[in-house]
Amino acid sequence: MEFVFKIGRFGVTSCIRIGQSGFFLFRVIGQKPRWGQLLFLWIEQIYRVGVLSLIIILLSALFIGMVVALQGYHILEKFGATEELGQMLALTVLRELGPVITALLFVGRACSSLTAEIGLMRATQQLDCMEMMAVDPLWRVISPRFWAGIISLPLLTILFNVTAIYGGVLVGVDWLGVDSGTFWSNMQSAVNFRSDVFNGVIKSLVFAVVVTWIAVYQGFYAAPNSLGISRATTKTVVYSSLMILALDFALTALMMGGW
Amino acid sequence: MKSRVVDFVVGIFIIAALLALLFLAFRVSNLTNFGNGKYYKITAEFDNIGGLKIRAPVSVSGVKIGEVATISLDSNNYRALVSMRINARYNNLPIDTSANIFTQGILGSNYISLSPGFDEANLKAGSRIETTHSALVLENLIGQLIYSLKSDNDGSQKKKNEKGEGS
Amino acid sequence: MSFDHDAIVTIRDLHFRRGEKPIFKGIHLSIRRGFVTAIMGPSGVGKSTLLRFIGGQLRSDAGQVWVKGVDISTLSRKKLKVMRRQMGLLFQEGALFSDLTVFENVAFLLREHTQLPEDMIHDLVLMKLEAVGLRGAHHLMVNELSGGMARRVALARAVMLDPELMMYDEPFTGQDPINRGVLIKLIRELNDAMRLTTILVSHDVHEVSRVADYLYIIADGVVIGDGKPEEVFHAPEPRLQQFIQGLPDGPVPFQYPAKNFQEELLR
Repeated sequence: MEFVFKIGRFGVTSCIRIGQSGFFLFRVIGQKPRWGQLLFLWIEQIYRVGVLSLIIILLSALFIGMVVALQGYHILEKFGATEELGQMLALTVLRELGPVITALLFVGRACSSLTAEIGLMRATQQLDCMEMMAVDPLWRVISPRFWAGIISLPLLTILFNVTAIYGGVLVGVDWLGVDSGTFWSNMQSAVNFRSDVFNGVIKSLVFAVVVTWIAVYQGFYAAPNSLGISRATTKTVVYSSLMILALDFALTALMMGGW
Repeated sequence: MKSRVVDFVVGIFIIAALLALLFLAFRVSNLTNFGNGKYYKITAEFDNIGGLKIRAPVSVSGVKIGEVATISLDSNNYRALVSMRINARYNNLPIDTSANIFTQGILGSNYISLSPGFDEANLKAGSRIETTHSALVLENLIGQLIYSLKSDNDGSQKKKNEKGEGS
Repeated sequence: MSFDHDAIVTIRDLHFRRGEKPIFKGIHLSIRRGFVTAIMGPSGVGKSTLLRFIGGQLRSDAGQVWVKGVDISTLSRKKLKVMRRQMGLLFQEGALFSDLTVFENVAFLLREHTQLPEDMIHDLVLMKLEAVGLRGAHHLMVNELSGGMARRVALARAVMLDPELMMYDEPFTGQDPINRGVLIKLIRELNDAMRLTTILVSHDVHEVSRVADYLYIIADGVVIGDGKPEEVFHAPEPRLQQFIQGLPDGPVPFQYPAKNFQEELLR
């Protein structure tokens, strides 16, 4: 019996939390900007969230591109279709690997640090202090970080895509000997800007909204002690990762179906 | 000042990402090959379009000049009605051009190949191509092959019999 | 509702419970303008929570909190913001913004609420830092400061907009005697020089007796004594006396409520 009550209680609290986070998102987005200062805050956050993630994103992209090209070559070899390597590499990266892996790496590096930072501000009463000083912490702390995440992730995805393709070129053309002209022309004829490149960026934009939202929400409502912060950070990583994969499926189905 | 460096780096980051996007657009995808030009639409009817899909290429002598826009069924004569968007640059296709559905490679997808005719007048927006050849359907091919093998067999049997009788 | 016109803050019959536990069961107090009033009591009695009520961050279950003649629970968001600008609150841990330097922390309120030019801000910040004795440290990051220094910076930050009401949440806790002396000096000087009203929440009897003009002592959710320090310290109320003298056992028992010891051992 106790177990059933627990499940019920869990369901109710989850609904309340989802509603709270939705309302939170609404308030964050509705923050009116004061342009001069806002720009500075945004830039600082884009630096922290985006630029500092570059190293892990680009290195991963390089290795992933190389591995995909390597594995792909050996499979295509069996069908005598190694000239299609460029096409295979580009489509895999642009449609799936780019948006999804960049988002997952972003979650692990940037989102977890956002949650921890905001959670710590909560625990050391910095957010309460700001409120008492009549400065809305949603405006000053949360909103810049939120928009920084939304701007940074698509940019990072684009850079990931290019680096991964470059890694694939290194392996496919320079190492395994696929003809350069064939490689590129096959790729170009198969990759459609709207349905491949553009859709991939749209995906990463959707991921960016969801993932950054979860990160700042968890940080803001973390319990103000060390256990609370660690719990919040864990939740960010777990929920964000699951949402990325679920949304990826949904978006892919949507895009393959109608676009 | 510290913020100057930060501004600069963020600026570089955004520029790099935009350049990367341009790279993807023009070097990785086929954006330039078939850019945003003007198009005109023409139609054609086929008995069987095989595996032809929307956005399949329409080409002349192997050069892509357009795409398949829509595919529908004409409810009067139950033939497939295909409309194609042709790049406005290629506006001198004669009206007796024929449309054929071929396959890219052996296992590839279908596309439409136009063979220009010799008429003076040209196709315009809304024109219809009269001469069409449908896609090769594998089952029909195999049927034909079996039939022709069989008739060959019968033919040579007859000859043998005739020879045998003649001697 | 009548209230003392000399009082900048009046609390009448405040009731509040956190979950199941009742925190306040009818608090009455009034803070007179221009004086340093201390609110004291055992740990966990809810002294810091009182400050949250005055700042409008919490709503009571019953009773009113009047600040400057206005019931603070009736204020709109905008008006609350205006009210808060006239208050300064020094948090227990300082609550400095960890991503800014000392200078930026102190300049924070000026940047957010005023459009003063940079050089004016620069001068004002240095003046306030000078008042707390930390002008030379203005370029340091927050994590480079010691606890005492952080608290002084937080103090400079809190008084930047010349508030009318200054509240201190346990300022002496965990400080060495020198820092305590510094803080006492600053609290007193700021109150008198800037003509503030000061509310001091603390349980450090010795320090409070050196700086406060008036005392309230809270225990069990009500005010159990108030008056000038000398009066309160000699009042015969047993809970008061246990608190002031620091007796380990008395009305507040030493033992957390538990079963009979013999029974538990022999089980």
